[in-house]
Amino acid sequence: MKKIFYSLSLFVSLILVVASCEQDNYPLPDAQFFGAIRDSVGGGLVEQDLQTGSTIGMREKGYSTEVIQNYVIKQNGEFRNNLVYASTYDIVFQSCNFFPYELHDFVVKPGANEVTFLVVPFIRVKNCSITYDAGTNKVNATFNLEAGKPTVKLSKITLYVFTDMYVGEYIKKTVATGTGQPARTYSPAATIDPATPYTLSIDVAANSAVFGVHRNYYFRVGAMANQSGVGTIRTNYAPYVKIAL
Amino acid sequence: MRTKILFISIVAATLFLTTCKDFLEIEPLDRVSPEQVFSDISGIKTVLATVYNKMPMEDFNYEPNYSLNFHGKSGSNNSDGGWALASHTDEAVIQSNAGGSIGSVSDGYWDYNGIRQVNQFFATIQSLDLDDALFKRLSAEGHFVRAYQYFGLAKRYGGVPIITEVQQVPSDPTDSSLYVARATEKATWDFVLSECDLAIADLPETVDPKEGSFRASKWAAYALKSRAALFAASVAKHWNKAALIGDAVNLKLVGGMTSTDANNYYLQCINASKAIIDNSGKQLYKPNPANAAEAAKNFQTMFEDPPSANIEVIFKKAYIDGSTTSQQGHCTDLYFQPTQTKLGSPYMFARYGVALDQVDAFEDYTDDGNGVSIPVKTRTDGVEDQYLTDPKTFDISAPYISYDNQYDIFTGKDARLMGSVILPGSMWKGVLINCQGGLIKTDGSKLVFTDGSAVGLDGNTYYCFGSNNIYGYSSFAKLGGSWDANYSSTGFIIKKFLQEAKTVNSAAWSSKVDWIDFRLAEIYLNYAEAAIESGQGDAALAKTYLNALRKRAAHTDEIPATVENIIKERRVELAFEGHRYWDLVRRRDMHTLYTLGTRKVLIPILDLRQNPPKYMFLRATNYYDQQAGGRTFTERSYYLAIPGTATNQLVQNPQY
Repeated sequence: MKKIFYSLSLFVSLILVVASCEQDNYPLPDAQFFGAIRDSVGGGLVEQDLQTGSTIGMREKGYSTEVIQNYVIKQNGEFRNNLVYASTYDIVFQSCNFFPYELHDFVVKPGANEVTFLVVPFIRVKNCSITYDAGTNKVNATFNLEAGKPTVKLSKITLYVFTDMYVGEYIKKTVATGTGQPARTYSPAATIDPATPYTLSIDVAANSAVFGVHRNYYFRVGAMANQSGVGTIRTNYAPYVKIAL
Repeated sequence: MRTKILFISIVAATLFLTTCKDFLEIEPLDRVSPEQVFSDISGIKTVLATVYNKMPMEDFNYEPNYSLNFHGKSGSNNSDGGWALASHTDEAVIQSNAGGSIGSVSDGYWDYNGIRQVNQFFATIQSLDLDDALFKRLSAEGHFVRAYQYFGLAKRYGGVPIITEVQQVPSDPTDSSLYVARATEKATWDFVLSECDLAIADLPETVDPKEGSFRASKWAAYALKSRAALFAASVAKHWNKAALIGDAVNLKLVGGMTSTDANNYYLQCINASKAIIDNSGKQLYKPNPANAAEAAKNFQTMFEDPPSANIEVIFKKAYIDGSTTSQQGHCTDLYFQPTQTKLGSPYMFARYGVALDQVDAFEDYTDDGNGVSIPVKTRTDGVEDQYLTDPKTFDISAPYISYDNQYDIFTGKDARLMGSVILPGSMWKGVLINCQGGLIKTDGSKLVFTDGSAVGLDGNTYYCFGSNNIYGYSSFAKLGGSWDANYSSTGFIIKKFLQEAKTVNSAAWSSKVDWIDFRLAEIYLNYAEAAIESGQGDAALAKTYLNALRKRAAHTDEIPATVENIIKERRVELAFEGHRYWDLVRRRDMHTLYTLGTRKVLIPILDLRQNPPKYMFLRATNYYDQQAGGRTFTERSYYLAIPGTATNQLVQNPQY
């Protein structure tokens, strides 16, 4: 009788132990979500700030409290997140450098999901040329601007400089004006005429502290829009230009 | 059998009935009943002190990166080294925490526990049979505290859940009444102002002299209303300078106020301010000084010894010595004392460096009717807007002005500068304050921010920091090295609130000077700003009030009441009193001022090429801000993130 009891106990314990070994972890993210933010006119990539720039707001459906997660967009307008749960999302673009919009019930499938978001940037910085003029010891930028919609006005243009490619509004060197004009503010905001050529320049001599070392410097032109009803406005950019000084 | 059942029934009934006897009902012995507490005045005051302590007053113990009523976060009383809201603005750099950062406050204020306690206070006094006058006064004080609490929430988060009852856990689990949704921002401001009105209605005009300005009077409630209404009006008017979008905006939980709302709030500010100015009997403290020196001394005295300025003070907070009573007192004198006059042998002092931006904001006595800020003059060519990012690399041939000593550069500046800031070359507690940051040797080579010495043309030895004793100077030292936080990183040290005449114990939390929460000067400026911004009220009176403050600072001209002049006057009159941060927030100017922005410093350099040696002054960016690559305040920070949205079901603010 005793033997039976012990055997039975052992058997039950084993079953309980083995049963408790069942996999009970949450599943891993099973989808990759990547693609690009492109201009709805012309299809060019929409340049961004890496830091404090536009983000993709993803609100996963099906929870009692749906919280937005923000995915960062790369400097050149592409994005990639390899650890995403396949599910149904609302996608929210707010406080970006293009007009806000939302996509509802967007399905992210298991595996690769490549998406191109076509957007209307506030301002397009076009025909941008940034060159160094040894004669005047200045870096000069010339460019044109085009408003994304007729209501958009211009509040500021800036020629940024930094020591790496992430140059922009939030990653930049502070430059002294000297005889150059590194930025121009429009107050009140100005109407944007695509035919108007804009010029900015950085006086290298007046910024010996910034350009103290012979190396590559990265320059980028940014334009800040003035537009009501779109939340926080981020800067629109042309691609950066690398210059050895 | 029947007999047995009958017998058992009788016994049971007898037992049940005996439980109804009164002698079995006893008062609990482990707590004091509301009736007992409210039966005498000392009990009432004990409860009131607890309720008052729930006010989110941003006083000496407001650690904007940690909490209100801060008394040390690590168990040790002496480990934090100073804090101030000014470090989130261009007023000052607090050297602890690598300079402190411009950016939003992160004090975590979301005190629904405190609000519940005030609601419980209301419920308790309603349940008691109190004398009518006492009930009204206590009730009004509850409304005053609750207005203060919701003002603290509204200015941080916009619209918040408005809870005016003591919530109870519902017996029905499907009952969702505990989940109170956020009210709109406008409704929240309206609630704050209506709470002020309820407080105003029943608070007394005069308070027992023994309670001084520490217990709320009608005028304290008007002052809170004046401040809150100006905040609401400014947000309504300037919201579009940093407009946001998102669910919270669509639901008007943030923003959503119109120009009509702005004008309404401005008018409420005007009326509340005027009620104080006309009826409270409050006056400016010593409004007619004989000269600038007297004005400076008066201004210093007002904060060094607040009871002497009671004529101007509307509401303030008292402290008792925290070195003998736990959780009391403050550390102002200990942590902010200049290095040269440090108290005893602590290991943290001189933490409050006043920024050059603040010093430059003061006028001088040109008094030509313009009232513009006059930067201190460092160069003969008038270039005062360029700042060195690395002071060790300055150009010795630039046209710097030579001064005989460290103080002369400030000659002729507004008396309130001398009253609020310990300047280089000035006397403090009988010691000549030395803020030298470097020297130029006779051969033109430089020593900046490093130990070292050189012989001058007169044969004397001079040191980089003006002394070879590490307690013989108060600024800079070896920035970036050890102990650098114990020297002002800006070349200036705060004077406002510090005790000069009295000796202060060197133990932590020994400071007891009162915190002035509301004073008439602020009310003057609230009125002026509301009147000029909205075109309501009396513009001539706005000018009168603005110039009354300047006259008290020994100015002789009258300047126009423009918005710029009023904001500048707030900067210089109310410096370090916790206003600048919220002024920049409510007027939506912070993000424009700070995108990779830096605070500025002034470095006295001794030039040994001259005999006798002379001083020149370098304008530079603050070391800590430069190290951080500049400071940024983003638009979303005008509203803080609502805590706990994953569980409390509240709509989150934009961009979080």
